[in-house]
Amino acid sequence: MLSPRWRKVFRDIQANLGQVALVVCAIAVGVVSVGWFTSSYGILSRELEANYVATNPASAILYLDDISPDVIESIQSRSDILDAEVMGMLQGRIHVDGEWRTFQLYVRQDYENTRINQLVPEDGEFPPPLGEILIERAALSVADADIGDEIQVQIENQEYTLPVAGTLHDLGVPPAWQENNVYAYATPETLTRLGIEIAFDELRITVAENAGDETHIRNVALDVTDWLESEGYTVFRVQVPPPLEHPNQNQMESLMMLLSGFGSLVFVLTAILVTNVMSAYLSKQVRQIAVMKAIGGRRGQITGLYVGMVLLFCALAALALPVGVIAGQETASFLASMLNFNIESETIPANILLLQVAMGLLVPLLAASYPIYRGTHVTVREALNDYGLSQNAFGARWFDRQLSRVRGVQRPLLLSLRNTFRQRWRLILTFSTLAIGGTLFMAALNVRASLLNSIDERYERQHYDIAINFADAYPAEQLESIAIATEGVVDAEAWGTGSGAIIDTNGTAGNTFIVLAPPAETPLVDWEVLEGRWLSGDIENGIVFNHALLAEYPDLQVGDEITLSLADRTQSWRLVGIVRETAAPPLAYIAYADFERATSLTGQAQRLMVVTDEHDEQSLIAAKQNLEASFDPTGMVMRSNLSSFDSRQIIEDHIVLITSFLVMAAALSLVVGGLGLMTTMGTNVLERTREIGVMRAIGASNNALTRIIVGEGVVIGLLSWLLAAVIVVPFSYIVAQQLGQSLLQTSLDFAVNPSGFVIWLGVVAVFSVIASWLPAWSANRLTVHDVLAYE
Amino acid sequence: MNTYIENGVPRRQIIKLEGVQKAYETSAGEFVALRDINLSIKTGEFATVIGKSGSGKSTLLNIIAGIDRATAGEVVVGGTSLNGLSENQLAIWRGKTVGVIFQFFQLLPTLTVAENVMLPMDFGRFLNGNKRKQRALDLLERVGIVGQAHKLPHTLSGGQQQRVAIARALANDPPILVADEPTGNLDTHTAEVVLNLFSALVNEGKTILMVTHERDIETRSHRLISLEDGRILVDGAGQKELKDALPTLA
Repeated sequence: MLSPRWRKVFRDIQANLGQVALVVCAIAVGVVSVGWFTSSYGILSRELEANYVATNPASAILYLDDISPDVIESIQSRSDILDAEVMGMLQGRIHVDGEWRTFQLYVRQDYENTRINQLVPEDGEFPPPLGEILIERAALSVADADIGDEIQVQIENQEYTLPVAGTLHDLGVPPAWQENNVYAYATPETLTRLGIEIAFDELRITVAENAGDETHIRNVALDVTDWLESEGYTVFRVQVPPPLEHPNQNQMESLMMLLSGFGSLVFVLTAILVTNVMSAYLSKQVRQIAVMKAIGGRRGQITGLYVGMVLLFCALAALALPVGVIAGQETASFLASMLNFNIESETIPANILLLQVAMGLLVPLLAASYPIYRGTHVTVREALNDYGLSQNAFGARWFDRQLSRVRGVQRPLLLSLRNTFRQRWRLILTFSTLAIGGTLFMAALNVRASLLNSIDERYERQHYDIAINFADAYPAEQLESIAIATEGVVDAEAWGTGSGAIIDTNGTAGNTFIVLAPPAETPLVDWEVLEGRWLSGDIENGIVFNHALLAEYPDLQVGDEITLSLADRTQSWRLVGIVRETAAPPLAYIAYADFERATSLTGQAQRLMVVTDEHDEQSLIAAKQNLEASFDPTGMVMRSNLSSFDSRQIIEDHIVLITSFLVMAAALSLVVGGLGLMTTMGTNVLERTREIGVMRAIGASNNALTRIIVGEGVVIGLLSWLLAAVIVVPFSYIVAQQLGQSLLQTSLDFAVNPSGFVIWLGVVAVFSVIASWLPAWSANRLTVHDVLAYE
Repeated sequence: MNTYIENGVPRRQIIKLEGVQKAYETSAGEFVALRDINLSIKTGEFATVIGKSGSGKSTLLNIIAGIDRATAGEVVVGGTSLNGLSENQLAIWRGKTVGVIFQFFQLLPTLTVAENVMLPMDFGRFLNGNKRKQRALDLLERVGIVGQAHKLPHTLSGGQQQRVAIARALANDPPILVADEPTGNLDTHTAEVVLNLFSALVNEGKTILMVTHERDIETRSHRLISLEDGRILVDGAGQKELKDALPTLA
């Protein structure tokens, strides 16, 4: 049988169901948010790594001539090599919905036994039957095809119709929808039948030890390179991807950063809510605490009651834990499908579960500990003398005195103003709750605006509308004249392009990157120069890095000499500038004149930048088609033909998960912040029920009381909005910069979304009125006697 | 505790205050509620404290009940010096030694009448769990409201609630009861019932110290202590002292 004091706990809960529901809701929201974010975090980080590692990703990729099987065996037998495998890849285009998209056809020698970057059969046939292809599962929608369909592809200026026999899963390639790229797989025999020559020129190796050590991998790859070259092979470049890191790891990490940061803040918010509501609850209980002390209740015993009560609330709120876990599992599953990997197990890691339980129990307990301490610390005499009117005499503080000098305001509003600042502790809690809610809401929108603004800014600095990549270098003047003669085109500029790699002092080539060679005075781009200057004809062999390339060589400085391998030649270049090019891969720019000298491709170009007369999407689609038609009869093979809309879409697809999450975070902040607003306003009024009774006793009408209470609510709401509006700018700036660095290796062009401020102001105003009107309405319904006897 | 013989009966000095002073810091400066109080109350005595509002009578009661602390002087109640006790120790001590009765009853609204009476036993670990209920019912029987034992306080009249409060004060069988204007909120008839109950308890050996404004208290109280401006104005048991003191009631 329960002792009377524990019965008191349960009956108090029964008697204060509304308030208890608020506390439990507040804890539950925290538990759900922590459960949600930590569960998805736990599942995604484990599964992405496990999935990727399970495919046995290549430690390094060496690009060389066609390689013979006996050489592979020799490499496999090396003690520092675990395994080696070759594959070939052809770049082409696929015809989808009236336009050409990029297409990559991978060729493996033995599909039944893929050992490095393993392929997993999905639907349909496996391995690819003779004359047919398989498509990467995430690329099926990009190809707008189904198993059994035939697709139109163009490889080396020849068009082929290929039946799709099935799908497979290749975790080694980025999600197709993000790249707007179709990955297909065929056997060497199929290519032979099609009359396409394929070179097995990609040698993929895995190292025998220290698979996570990039330096070790690079050293091993270079040893292999030396050996291959001693055998008469030419190794064009060596690529060492970040070890055991999925291509979309940084997107995932950025999302995780936001998830954990946002989850923590929501939990802080709910902790403040708990403090707020418990504080109000305890202040209502002060007299009862005093009575219990007066009849012999020890502080420990009484504290135990309220701690027990909070633990009970936690236990009730913990019922929401599965909701958070399920939400986390669903989120993980959704993100996994977006990033094209499988969730093998939705089990929540034990440490994450423990963390959820600990946070669900400890944080509310900690949040409630101060109100409990304060409530149970009060002496019997103080508590019995507490008639529910403020114990903090108004006028004792400087601010109060200033407020008391305010004149010319209606007395009820004056009372609202003074009441607002009377209980400093309560005010701080209320402000914190509302300001955090508002800050989260507005920050989510600001960060999203900053991301989109950065992309806008990038396209404002890019003055061409269509970029065409050709399969080979063609005469630059011819490219330009054909383009300019095309309907809808007003200008065109041919750029050189090639694959570059920096050679270090040991003669070792680093990862390759694209080198673009516009005319030095090109008007088509004016990237923001972070350091040094843009290209000019003044200095021979000047090179400009974009920020993403510099991030790979953080020790390099403007003015440094670098040795660059470009078009099979090694030359010395001087780093003259760093430019910011948001959402671009690592790139270097050299002047076209230098490109001609360095590559001997005099007057040749492989890339064509086109300016159109109209810049809307439909005009660009038409211009692209016109360009296709213009170049088709010339025999000049296009590899890709992307409008700024296409490339912008690819960039936006890369950040869509982040921006969607930010919108969701904003919506959740709205709910949690609104709940906080309702709770704090409600408890503010509830705490002063006795005072309301006094005001009614001296003649305040219902309307007058409502005006005072609602006025106070609105004052608090508006001040909290002001506070949030001030905090949110530096806060969202910091978050935007962190996110920019994590996702795009650059700071974002910070932008403020004014609608966030307006929406939050509206929310605060409406919620303040509702939240304070409801308790005022309840108080108005009580008789003066009831209110004065209010416990 | 000092024990001595009075009229052939051994009597103990159960409450002893020496040089007690109580001052409060207020925004207007220091307010002295009690000044140099010397007071001794014996076991089984029914002492009444009277005085105008603000004279310090409730403060005196609170200090004796360990609810408030003296700024200076010594307070010994039930053989225990209260001066050095922590709040916690005071609570434990109070649970065993003093039963407190308030003007506004102060019953816990979410506990039934019987549970309110059982609560001090629960806190003070008085009796075994299963015997507590029986004792609560006995005490409620004693105060004449056992029939209401399972009701919540708000369903009871003021007089009934005060009788529950008295039963609760008696729960741990403390030797001393302190009552701060226990009849202040009751009608004349109900006040009479409560005072009769107090008289009966005194006859059973309880010591009662009560603050009151009741005018006919001289017929029941053994001793009347009149306070004015924090000082004892009159302290006596005779009819003369009572008659002298009564005009000082507010």
